[in-house]
Amino acid sequence: MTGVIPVEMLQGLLALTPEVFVLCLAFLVIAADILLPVKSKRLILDIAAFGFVFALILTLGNLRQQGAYYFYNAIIVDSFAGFFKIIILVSAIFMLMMSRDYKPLEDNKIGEYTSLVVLVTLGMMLMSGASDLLMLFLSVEFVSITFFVLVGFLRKDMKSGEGAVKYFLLGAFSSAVFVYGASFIVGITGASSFLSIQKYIIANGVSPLFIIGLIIMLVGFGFKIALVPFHMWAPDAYEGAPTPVTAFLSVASKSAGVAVLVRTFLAILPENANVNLILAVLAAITMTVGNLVAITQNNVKRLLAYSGIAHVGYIMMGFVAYGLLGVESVLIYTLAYLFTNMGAFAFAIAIYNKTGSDDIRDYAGLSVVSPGLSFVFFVFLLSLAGVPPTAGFFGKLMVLGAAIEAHYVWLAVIGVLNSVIALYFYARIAYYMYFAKEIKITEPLKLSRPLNIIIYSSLFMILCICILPEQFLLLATRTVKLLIGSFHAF
Amino acid sequence: MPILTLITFLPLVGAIVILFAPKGKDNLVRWVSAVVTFLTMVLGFYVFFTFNRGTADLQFVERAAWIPSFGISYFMGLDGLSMAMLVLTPFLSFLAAVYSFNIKERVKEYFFFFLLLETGMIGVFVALDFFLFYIFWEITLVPMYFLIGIWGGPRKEYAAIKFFLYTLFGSVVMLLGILALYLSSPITAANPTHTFDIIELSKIHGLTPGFQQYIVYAALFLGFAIKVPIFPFHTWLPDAHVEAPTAVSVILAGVLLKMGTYGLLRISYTILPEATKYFAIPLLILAFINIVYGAFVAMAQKDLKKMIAYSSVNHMGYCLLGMAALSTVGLNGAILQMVTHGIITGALFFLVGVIYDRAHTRDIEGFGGLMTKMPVYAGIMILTCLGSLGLPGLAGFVSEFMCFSGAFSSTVNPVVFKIFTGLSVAGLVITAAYFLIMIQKVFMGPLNPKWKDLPDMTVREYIAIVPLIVLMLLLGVMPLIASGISVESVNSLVALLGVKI
Repeated sequence: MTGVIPVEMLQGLLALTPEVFVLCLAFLVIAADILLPVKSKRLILDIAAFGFVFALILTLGNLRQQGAYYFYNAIIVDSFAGFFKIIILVSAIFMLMMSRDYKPLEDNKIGEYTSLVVLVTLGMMLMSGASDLLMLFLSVEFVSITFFVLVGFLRKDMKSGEGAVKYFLLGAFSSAVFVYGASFIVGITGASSFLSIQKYIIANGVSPLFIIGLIIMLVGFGFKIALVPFHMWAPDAYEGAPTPVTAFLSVASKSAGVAVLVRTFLAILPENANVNLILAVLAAITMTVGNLVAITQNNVKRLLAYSGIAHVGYIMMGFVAYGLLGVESVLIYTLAYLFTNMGAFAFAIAIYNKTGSDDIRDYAGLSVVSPGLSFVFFVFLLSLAGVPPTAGFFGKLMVLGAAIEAHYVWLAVIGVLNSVIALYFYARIAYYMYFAKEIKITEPLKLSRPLNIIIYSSLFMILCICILPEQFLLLATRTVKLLIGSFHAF
Repeated sequence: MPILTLITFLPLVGAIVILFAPKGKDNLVRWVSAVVTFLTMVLGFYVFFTFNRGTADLQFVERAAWIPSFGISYFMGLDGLSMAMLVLTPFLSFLAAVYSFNIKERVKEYFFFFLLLETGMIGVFVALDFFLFYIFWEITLVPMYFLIGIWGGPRKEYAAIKFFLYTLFGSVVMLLGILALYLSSPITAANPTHTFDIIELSKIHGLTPGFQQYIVYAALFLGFAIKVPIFPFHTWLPDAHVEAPTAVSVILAGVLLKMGTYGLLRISYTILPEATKYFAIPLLILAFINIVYGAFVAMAQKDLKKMIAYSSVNHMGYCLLGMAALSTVGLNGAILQMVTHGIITGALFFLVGVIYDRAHTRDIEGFGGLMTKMPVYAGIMILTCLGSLGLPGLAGFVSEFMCFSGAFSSTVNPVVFKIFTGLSVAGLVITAAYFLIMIQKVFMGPLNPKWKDLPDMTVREYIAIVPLIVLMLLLGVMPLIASGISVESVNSLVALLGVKI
């Protein structure tokens, strides 16, 4: 008897090598913080970044996994989880690279900051593999609490504190709602692992109470991915947080949220006929509110926060379609969103370092002094707006295609109308960079090496995703096919 | 040799080369652009002269798998519908690039965007895969936005964003239509995915005739109508034209507007023939409104450039009139009208640029008696205006005559067509009126002493304008050079539409 459990445990640990490695990395970072003198604390960021690169290489193997459960069905290792882990790790690497040049971060706090980033990354990796309601809740809470601290990391900045408190209060509330919803499901099915719930559903079908529980859980997910009307925290938290954390929050945390949302629904709901209207309406409201409010924003971080909300609306549009194409479009859109947003935030940081301002009106004259970089920034804005030949366009094309295929023409129409609104406020940034008469920026923008790497690799990727997307599509198809089984109605 | 790929991407290569030009070497940038656009033009003429006029089949076809899991292929080709525009686009681009030598500020960026625009425009006319088509279609927006917004006139920011938002609105709605067509194509054992192939889609007829087709037609139509522009979607045009720098106005009028009519012909007509027939009468009425309304508004303008901009609305109306007829004469006339309008209005915008560069005003009332001061300029301007109002012997007459006679003899609904064609003739009269009034006010009468020192045209301006005038005369006398090119393709299109000739 005694020999059985450790073998299973060891197998689990082996399968979760990337997570275990990241955990070790967190300890390494803490140790480095103690050992390194204050002057060379920024080295810790490099250590963590290189660690993440290694973890990324380890995770690549996940993409070929067929899907296996570990730790009493609490965690699944499959290519879907692998896909999102890669997105999370890439954004973590970019985020640490951005942090190197982020001035408001004090040197003596770097160790604490980095260890939190490493831990939150671990949490999100676990989130994308969670296949048990308990595991799901624990990992979500782990991530949320760590992010509260990261958002409020600039202790001397009132806005940072304000953002953290708002994030914390709404987060705690939504966690409670999530647990309430989950209790319905556990109560009905008598199980918490997705595998057992699925068995119960196959045998007994979906009851109305089960759907109610799922909808209540949706509130919890909605908070994580900033779905309207659960988005109130996002603009304040984004504005207050240190900009690299904002970028991380908007990409990694959202992707992880999307991953658990998709995984949970696909795992325990055979078809979304009962909830699709709610999801569709939420998607429509989310896009529209996000885009409309973004029009009036002058702070680039707030603007990107609202634009991020709108993008979640688009992702949800793909999710509403629910079929093969729908889930594929979610994956591709998230991938596009990763590189597009990271590039845009890298520019926000570069310009902030130059001017000390996050106000887009202070971007005036950028195109005169650095025409090349301005155009690259504009390409990122085009990708956010979904104009070809960029990744944002390809994502949007897939999402719209999925919606039309699933006969949500009205949703697709709202989607395209929104992309016109979106273009307006992205073009406002271009307006200040290119057309504004009074010049605020008078010297060329100088990018540090990490920012250069982020910007040009993201640029390469967003062009690649639109112009040569075949490999990504094949990966997405394979990934989604593994998720969908005989259990599903489509 | 993949000649279409070469024509399409040569300007893009030029644009990238320009990026590496050292700072301050403005003349180098200008000459590189001139050479690149010249080579593109030479290739365009080469294709034009080797093009086989005796067949409706696609020529110069290039096809390669691109994104197989989405049914997207890299598919380019030419037929009679696109040939004329393919030769006109590089031709006008070269002339516009030469004219743009007078751009003084941010030269490098200007020519970068200009060449990027050329790639987009040429791509639209050769792409036969929806995905490729849409990418090129959208690529034209961005450079245009900057070309108007940075180098434009006093209200350039407003005009630029208005242009961008209007056309993007049209194209995203069009995208929905494209997706609907894509999803309507059947999945078979031979084709495991849907297809974006425009030619394939026109053979399949995936959508059932009736409501589905009408909705998709309407979605596509919105995208094209904004581009043409068809009343009531035309309001971006005067703003964009008035604020854009001269060379960009020429491209806008000469090529960009034609993307709309070309799109209608290439996509709506071939893929949705039933809906096309259903909407022939509404299109006729819109054409009538474009003609008469455009002419009246043009007459009311005090600004020379704005007048020509509205005359574009009016002239695109003739083109739509020919298209609505769904007959061989009408469609051939519409295609020829696309070319002649590109040539004549292109020349007019250049000529307006010439006078504006000297006088820094375009107020029609403010001139007078320029004939004595700038005789050559006045002669060319008057000749071009006469071409635009449809004087026999010049290019405009032939195409307008074809459009009118096509519409008049249309069998879609003879009575309605005869009535509206008859009413549209009023447009010709008004057009003649406003051009003649303008000529009188600007060139005749006593010389306004303010303009006694105006010099006549320079070499750069001659290079840009004279070829257009020569072509205008040539096409007026020998229209077959251009109109013969579309005959076979139009025949097969009319056969597809199934309208009695």
